[in-house]
Amino acid sequence: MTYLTVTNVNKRFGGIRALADCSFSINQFEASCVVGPNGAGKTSIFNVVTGFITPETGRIEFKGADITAMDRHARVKAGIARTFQNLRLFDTLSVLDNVMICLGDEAANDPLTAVFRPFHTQAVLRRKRDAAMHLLEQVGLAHKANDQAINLSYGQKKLLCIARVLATEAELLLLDEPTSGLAAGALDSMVELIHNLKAQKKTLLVVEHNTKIVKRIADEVLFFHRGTLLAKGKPDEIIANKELGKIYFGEGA
Amino acid sequence: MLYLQLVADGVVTGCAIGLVSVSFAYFYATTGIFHVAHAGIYTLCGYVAWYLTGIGVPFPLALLASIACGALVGAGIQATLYRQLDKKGASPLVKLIASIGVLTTLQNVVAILFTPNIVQFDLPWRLARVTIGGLAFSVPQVLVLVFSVVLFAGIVAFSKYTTLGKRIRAVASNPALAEITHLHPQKVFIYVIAIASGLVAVPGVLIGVDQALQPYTSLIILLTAVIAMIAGGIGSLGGAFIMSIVLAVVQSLSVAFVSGRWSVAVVFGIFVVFILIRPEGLFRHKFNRAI
Repeated sequence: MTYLTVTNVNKRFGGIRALADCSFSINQFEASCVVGPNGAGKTSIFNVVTGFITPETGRIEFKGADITAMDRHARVKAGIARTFQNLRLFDTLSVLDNVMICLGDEAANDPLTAVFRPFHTQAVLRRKRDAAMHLLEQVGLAHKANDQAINLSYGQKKLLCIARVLATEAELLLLDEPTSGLAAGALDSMVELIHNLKAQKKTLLVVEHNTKIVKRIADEVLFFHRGTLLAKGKPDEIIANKELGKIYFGEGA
Repeated sequence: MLYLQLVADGVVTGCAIGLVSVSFAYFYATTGIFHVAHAGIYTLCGYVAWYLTGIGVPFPLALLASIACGALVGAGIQATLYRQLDKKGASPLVKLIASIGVLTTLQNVVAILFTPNIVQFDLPWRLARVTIGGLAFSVPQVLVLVFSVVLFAGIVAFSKYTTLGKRIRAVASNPALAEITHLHPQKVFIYVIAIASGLVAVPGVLIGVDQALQPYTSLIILLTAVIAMIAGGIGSLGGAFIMSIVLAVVQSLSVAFVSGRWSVAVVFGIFVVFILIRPEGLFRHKFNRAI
């Protein structure tokens, strides 16, 4: 059984074909990198898989179930979570609250329970706080737990986005350019974090521009062009392919 | 002394409008819906309490019942109307028009169910007066003052410290993100509108006790409240509350200088000038929805 399968998906925005009969699949527990020139449809693929856009035709299957018509929220429950190219956080909340709020625990979220079972709610909240702190330690932000999210540096915000995605307990993580704009040190910790996630049996689909990073993190590379999958293979094969290189840098377009 | 008394009266009215403003701002900042029907709930709650005290229900119980009624009607509007419009991808303007429809319906339902005439609560203590430091207040005015300050402090603390309060702030700060976490924005919206509508019942009833009830007057109160919200900076609950008091004091004081008929025009005129000078409001630096 393939893990995530996208079959013949089409999506137009006005006259532009963002996805043109796009089909691909990825394997569980691997990191697959999505690469391609600008306008190749990388972010559209993320949007289709996470339910931010509905394809005109085609089918998306996750672990054998058809999720094409599922709403965004249900997809998160099913185990698919994503980050965004433009960071999205709850700016007005603390770093810890940003993570805690994403931990799914209905008991503590129901205000009636909070009123009628205060001790239970307190216990749940303690557990959530511990879980959130653990996630922050994992991404290296534990020391910033009480800062307001808006006051973090760019790199720290990116790490917080990942902690937030992890808090949803999703097993398939879609990371949209997790390393772009990061300084060398922050870049290395992001790569290390991605390796740790793989070790924790997460499946990753990552949009990545930097070929050096692709080599370091990817098990498989999916090369997209004009909204469709052009090539798929090991990182070294794809990167060494001269034809793809021309397309990537614009000469073959 | 006359001026001080006018200021004091203004502060009391301002506190009541402050609750309307804060509750409106709380819902608006979270959902982005310009919930004009809030004024309809304000009216309805006043009449529910009036009706209940009329049939012999003790006032505190009538007040509680009208709070519950407000919360239920509010939740109903969110669950049936706004949620459906959200699902259909309606624009904010469509929601505003729908809300105006609900307001008109509520006002007319009140007029039909109860009475279209001006009514007063039949409570002997409503005319009793207390004197504090040389300033005279009616008992309902004292109640307005106490309830408003306590409830305002309560909502601020709730927003800051409770889990639900934080969930509401999270949804307000990034609705699209909230949708792909475990936050259930639609559920949060129902809680917010229930809280806001329960809150607005309090000034709805207390102003009714202090002055009188009339089905169609709530819109001007809401308008003042909305102006206070904008002048205070959208998303700042404290700003909305303080600006409500400022506006009401200005309106109250203006009576000393111009004819009473001009007082509303004075306030709104000042608002127009204010918004030209400081379009972002007093307490926020830019228009964003945050609580």
